[in-house]
Amino acid sequence: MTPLVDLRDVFVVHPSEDGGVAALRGLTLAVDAGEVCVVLGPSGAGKSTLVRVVAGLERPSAGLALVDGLDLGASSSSVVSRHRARVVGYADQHYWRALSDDLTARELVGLPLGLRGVGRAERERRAEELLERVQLLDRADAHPGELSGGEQQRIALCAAVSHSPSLVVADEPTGELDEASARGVLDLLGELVRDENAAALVVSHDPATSSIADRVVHVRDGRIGEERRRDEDTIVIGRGGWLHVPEETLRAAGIGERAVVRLGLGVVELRPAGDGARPERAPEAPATAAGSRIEARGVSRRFGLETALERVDATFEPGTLTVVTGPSGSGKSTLLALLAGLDTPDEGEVVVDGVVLSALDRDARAVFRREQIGVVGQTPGLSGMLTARENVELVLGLRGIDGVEAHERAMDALAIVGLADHAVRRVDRLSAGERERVALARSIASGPGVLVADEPTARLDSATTLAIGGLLADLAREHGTTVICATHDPLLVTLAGAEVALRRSTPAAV
Amino acid sequence: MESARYVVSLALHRLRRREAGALAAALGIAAAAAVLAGILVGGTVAKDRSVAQAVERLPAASRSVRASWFGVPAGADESWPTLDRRARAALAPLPAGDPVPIALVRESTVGGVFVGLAAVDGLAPYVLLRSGRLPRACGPERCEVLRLRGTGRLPHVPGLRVVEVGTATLRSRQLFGDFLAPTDNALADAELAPALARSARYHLPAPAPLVVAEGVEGLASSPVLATSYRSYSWVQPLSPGTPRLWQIDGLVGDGDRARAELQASSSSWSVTVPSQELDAAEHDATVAGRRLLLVGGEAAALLVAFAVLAAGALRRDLASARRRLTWHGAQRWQRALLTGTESAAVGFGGAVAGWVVGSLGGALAAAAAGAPVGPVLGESVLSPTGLLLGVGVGVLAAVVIAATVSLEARRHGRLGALDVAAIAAVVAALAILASGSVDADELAAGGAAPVVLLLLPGLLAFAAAVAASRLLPLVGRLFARRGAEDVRLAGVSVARAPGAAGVAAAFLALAVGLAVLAEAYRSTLETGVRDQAAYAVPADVVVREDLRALVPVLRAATLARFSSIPGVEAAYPVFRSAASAGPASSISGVTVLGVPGGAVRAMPLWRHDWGMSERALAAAVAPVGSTRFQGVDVRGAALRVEAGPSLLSYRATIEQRDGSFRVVDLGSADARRSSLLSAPLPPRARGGRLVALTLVPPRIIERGSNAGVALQGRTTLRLLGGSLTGWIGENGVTLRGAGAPGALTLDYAVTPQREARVRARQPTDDSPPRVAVTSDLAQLSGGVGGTLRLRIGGEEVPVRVAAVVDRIPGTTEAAVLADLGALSTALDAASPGAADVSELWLEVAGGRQEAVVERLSRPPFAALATASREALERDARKDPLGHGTLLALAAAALAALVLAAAGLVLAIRADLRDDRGELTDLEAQGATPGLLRRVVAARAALVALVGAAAGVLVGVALAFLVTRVVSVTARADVPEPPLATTVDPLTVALAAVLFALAAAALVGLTTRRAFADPRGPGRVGGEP
Repeated sequence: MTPLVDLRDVFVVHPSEDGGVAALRGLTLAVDAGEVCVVLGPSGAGKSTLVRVVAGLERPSAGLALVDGLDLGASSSSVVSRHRARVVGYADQHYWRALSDDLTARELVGLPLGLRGVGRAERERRAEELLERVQLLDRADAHPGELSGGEQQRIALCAAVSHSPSLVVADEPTGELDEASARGVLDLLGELVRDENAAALVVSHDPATSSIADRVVHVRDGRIGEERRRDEDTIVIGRGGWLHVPEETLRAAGIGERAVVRLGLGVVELRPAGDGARPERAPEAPATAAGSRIEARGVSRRFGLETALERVDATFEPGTLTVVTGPSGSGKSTLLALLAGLDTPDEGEVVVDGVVLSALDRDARAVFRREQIGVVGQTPGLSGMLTARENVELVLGLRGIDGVEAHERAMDALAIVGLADHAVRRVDRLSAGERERVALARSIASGPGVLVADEPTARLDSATTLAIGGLLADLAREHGTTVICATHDPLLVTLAGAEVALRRSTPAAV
Repeated sequence: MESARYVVSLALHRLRRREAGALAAALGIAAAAAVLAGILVGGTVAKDRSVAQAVERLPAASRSVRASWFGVPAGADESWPTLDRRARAALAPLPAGDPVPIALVRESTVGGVFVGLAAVDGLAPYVLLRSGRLPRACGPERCEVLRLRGTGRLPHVPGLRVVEVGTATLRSRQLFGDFLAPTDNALADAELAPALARSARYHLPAPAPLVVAEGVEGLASSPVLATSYRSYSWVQPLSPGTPRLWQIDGLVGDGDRARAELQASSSSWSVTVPSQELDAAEHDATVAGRRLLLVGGEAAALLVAFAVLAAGALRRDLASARRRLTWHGAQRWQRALLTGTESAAVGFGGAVAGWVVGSLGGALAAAAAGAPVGPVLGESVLSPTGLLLGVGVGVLAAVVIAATVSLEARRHGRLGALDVAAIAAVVAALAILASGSVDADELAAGGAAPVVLLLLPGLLAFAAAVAASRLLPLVGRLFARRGAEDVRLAGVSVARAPGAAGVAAAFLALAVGLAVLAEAYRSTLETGVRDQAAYAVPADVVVREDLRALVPVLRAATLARFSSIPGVEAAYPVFRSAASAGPASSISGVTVLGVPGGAVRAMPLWRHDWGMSERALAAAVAPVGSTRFQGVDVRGAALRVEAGPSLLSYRATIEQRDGSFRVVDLGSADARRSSLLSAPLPPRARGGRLVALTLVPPRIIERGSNAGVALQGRTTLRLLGGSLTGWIGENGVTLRGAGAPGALTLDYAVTPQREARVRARQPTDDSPPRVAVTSDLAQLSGGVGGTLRLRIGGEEVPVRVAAVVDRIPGTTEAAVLADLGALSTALDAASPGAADVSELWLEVAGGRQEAVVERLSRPPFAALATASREALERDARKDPLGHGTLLALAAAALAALVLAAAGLVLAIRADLRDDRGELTDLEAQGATPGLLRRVVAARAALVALVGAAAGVLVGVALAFLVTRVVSVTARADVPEPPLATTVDPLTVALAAVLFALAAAALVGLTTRRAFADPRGPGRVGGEP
């Protein structure tokens, strides 16, 4: 049977100042008609790019991308556009981005039909049919702003299938939902897809998504690494016999840069080569202030009708790299914002070395942060026209460190992250990984007792992830810094000393 | 089709629920469109008022449309009712209303009486009753009349019994025009000078009586007049507002048609329409109206700029909508349709709303100005051109928005579409500039000139705006590495993401630039008004001889009397004459001014770029040494001269005590022996000075056959009681060596054609007057140091060129400026009395000009013509065209500044929206909300600084260019002197301060709430 989606050795390179970043690196994947395929992988693995290619929103730089028999790479925009209108239903991670607040639920579900020239009566009939199906008929005249996140995502799913596509593509459909809503939406997605006799390609961070899958594939570094079908885990063998063994597996086996391969009967065995298990040498961590003990005491945070955190208790010890994990929408970033004093809880408190941080006003928290806490965001605000050193010095200036001292600290910090040689290069000439390291250097240059990092290894390849993770671990271990990272990345989790696992809108298990 | 309809309805649905962004964008576009519409209406009102004033300025005699019939009626076809019907039918299409019929039987003998008879249908409004009552309708049995002038009896015969019921004067000459001699109404008509009336009385015999009756038909049907030559006229008086600007062409055309129609029936008909005067008024109005295109171009540029800025505000939202539609399966044309519909709704909607508001504002202005609102709108915004322009504005705004929201962002370091467009704009502007200047005639003619005005400011401002947007990141980089923390962070921010800030800087550059242009041009025209008055009247008040009264200035009153007028600080006598210069007087029409040094220094207008400073000019023409006119004192009551034997007669020229000259005839010498010639001196000549002795040849008849040959010989002259030593001879007289002390021995060769004489040597004989000349005259003389031979009043006067200047106030074209003393001496030496003072320049204390002018309007000065610089300036300012233009420019400058402030606020809002992630990151790194507010404010200040600096530069440059290109005054005249670009620093500084304060307040208000959430940004960094 011809697969509905047939990707072969697909490369996608995004242009950048330094020549281009490969988001997909020879990805091969096939999805059959009626099959539900879930793609799992950490941030930056290439999941969203995969979705965009399949949906015809982005063209492959190389390789073959066939969807319902159409070569998306070789077809004109208008052909792809018509094809997408006919074949694909799309649901985005950010349902608020997918739903226009100008329209009611009924109008939103009918929107794809309207675009296809379906008359008003038929649109409304179909919309009401689907809304009834997802038990939202009584909210048909509500606007998205009047609905909960789960309800909105259900509306988005209805819109994605309203025109009866043969392929539903969903990018993190439960990414911003609480656990109960996520479960409901997943179930609904599975049901809708099967009822409509469609295939589905669903990408997610959340392993729970696999519950609706006929097949689960793992993406890492722009390639399919593993695949699970009917409870059997397999490693995908790429063209030419290339295997991608997960870093975590290699680390568990003590394998570094070299391995010895032995062939047995039906078996290929890998063993560590002679140079030991840990070839990666993390840079030395900077001299930092003594770490601080941070406690989240029963913190809750709600945004409108949504509950991001519910009575979370967690302690973050000095000298420890603590990772905050959990599926998308579980409140990782919210917790980090509370810990860094960038937000205050609705209930509970955040205490740093006995100081109730959450009780301080916004100005006082900024001052506290300036003295005690380094923050690395997912999109660090680096200035491309400044050099790496100047970027670090700029933030040091904010923290009251100027002149020679700032210069020396900046150079030290850049040396720590392995960028001493790049100190006078403009940041827009650095690679994504190097920029992430500049961001880290920026935050550790002042020697904060606490370092809060949100997805610091997102969009990095495994090797860089290991290097950055090692650095964070060393910062904690050798200098007593309290390092807190929110992450989806299992590789970073393996380097952590402690983990705070969040679930959606339920008290955390620590 | 259904899907297209769906997309359109979706777009409209979205717009209905859209937040303030689209509304703000539409409002901004509406504001610019309103300015455009307002300019259209305002321009029409100003032009209409200008025409109304031009009509008002027409002499009363020609301020009407007049159909006239002359002759003696022959038969029914030329009976009054037939002629009346025919004239009325021909004049009916003209917009000047019902004609007033009049009849005039000029001075002729009627019923044995020499009399002039006139009649008017509906006489009352046209006469001022002096005595008696208004007449009743005229009939053959009793024709009541009013006597307009003259004395004596009136016809009283069967068929025409004229009965005088009162006396009256005509209110104006509008009705009878030139049919009545000017003197007919001179006693009462304020349009004529009293001096002329007096003169007329003196020269003319007593006129025949003139009477006017009520009703033409009654008079015309009198059998007594059946054979009298008469004229009938049907007069349509023109008044301010009739015709209106847009009726002129029709009126002239209808007048021509009426003429053709009437003359087709009889050659006795004529139709007069003041076509030339009305065409001239229309020409001036058209020029001024088209010049408003300058402001129109400015408004259009602002419209485009605001559309771009507004599109920035819509861009993100529209991009989201398009992305959503893409996810839902929309095809490219559907996304384009959505963009187009929303852009059109905002752009077109805003433009239409603005057009309506501008039209309403214009209508109010029209009503306030007394112009008819409906026709004004019909001729401007509601005319086919106006409507087309309105639609065009809407389409332009929509297209600009659609293009802007659809354009991909430029990649760093590459030339984008905007850069290419900016370069093209500069090239186009240079081409326009290279094509030369635009004068009043070109503006009136239309063609390319109006397009130049419309395009030039827009093109250059657009280029500057793009330059400002590209400059901003560079300035950001400059500040990113130095200065206070907030400034550094603002610099980094601007350098990192200059997108919205760049657009804002560009808009500010455009708005400020055009505001500066408008203000500078307004200031230039304002200064031009002042300069033109000061150039035309080169003193506070200038008093000249009134050519109608012919009383020389110093004959009306002495210089001391002028000086004693309260408020007069100094009175400078000035000599002014026309002259010619060069070989065979090749340059004619040279104005020669002899001015005292003090008056040169007191001239209210002198520009250093005319060749030298005012002080240097005065120094250059100042005489070296005394220029006092020389002569020999004469004593006693008689002049006695001993003349050697000759056939000559002698005349003595005496400079009298008051400075005037008197010629005294000494009589003839004895042919064979020396004789003593003596003549009594008039009283004023006694104590004067003998300045010349003229040798007069005998009359032709006495010389017989030798008449054609010069009379030659040698003789002697000796002044009794004085010495003639040092005198010189000229025009055929050569002095010989020393004779008796104080006496002259001379050889002569005299003819009647030239005045041979001996005269006292004058200081200017050896040192000609030093003069400043205009460049064309300088070429004749070989430049500074050369000698120029002027021919003034038939006398050749050599002058030494001491300075070359571009122009001289009070003159036009070729001119010579000299010191009065030196020039008078040289002129009087050539022809005694030729240097009569022809005008006085009065220096008046501040604020006293009006009082001085009022005093000069009364005897003994009343016979003189007075020109006041202040009055001239005041008149120019009252001119609706000039006033309207200046007002429109000021309003445009203000509107541009308001839009600039609005643009700045939009930019800050965009910064706060687009840079949220960056600001959050800064806060995460420890920046307090206060610091963040300062960063945003500093960023706004950087944008404002770059935008305003670029704007000021381009505005000033544009003002210079526009002044150069458009050589037309505020009143649409050719400027004399040429306009000089003026930037009023006080106004600019005041506007800058006000703008800075307003901008600071708006920035403060906008940023105040941005970081007010006590919880914080709630996120660790920007969105992934």
